[in-house]
Amino acid sequence: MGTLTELLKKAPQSVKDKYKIKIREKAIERVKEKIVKHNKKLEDYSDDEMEAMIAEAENGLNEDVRTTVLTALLIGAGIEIVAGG
Amino acid sequence: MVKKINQIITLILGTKLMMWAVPDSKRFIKGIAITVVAILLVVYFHGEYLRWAELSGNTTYLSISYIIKNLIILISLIILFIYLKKTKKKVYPKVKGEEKIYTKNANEDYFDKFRDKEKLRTKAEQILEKDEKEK
Repeated sequence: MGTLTELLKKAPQSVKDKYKIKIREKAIERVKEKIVKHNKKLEDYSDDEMEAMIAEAENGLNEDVRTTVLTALLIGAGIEIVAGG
Repeated sequence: MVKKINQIITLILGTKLMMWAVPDSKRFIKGIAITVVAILLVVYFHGEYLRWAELSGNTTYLSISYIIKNLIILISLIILFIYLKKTKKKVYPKVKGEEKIYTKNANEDYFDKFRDKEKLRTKAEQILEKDEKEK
């Protein structure tokens, strides 16, 4: 996991920004889904509550991305080993 | 065989990555592809016409055919240029039943303040921040 974080730190700023925007948008989408599911309105939440919900969704998404990248890397390495052998 | 599969997977992943990093690349590729197909079709049909004219000996519209062919190619390129230059309006993805959560005072723009924030604070971070302020 540490290597992945190091790798992300080395990525160009533009890529990092695009990643952040994408993840933030996805997090907002998840929060909207959650609000719809609970039959609530935007006004039922304070700004701080909304911020916390989006932040938590964002953290969850980052975890998902890390898991997916690691899985993809492991699959890639597996294919390489099979092809090499 | 396995290497071929690996190459295909790499190609698909590469394309996905490009689409993700440069969302407009989809629009760019679509525009270029349609223009190329249109130009190739024009060249093909003009070639067919030339062959027919040569075989039948009917060359009345030969010069006009070249003008039409080049005009269509030119128009296609101009349309492509305009299509690529035109900026697409920012549309946020919609969630099913999303309109129910909005009121007169809070609509889609409500989320802009969270979109523009550098770092969002979780509940725990907010409590810690509040505690620090109280000290």
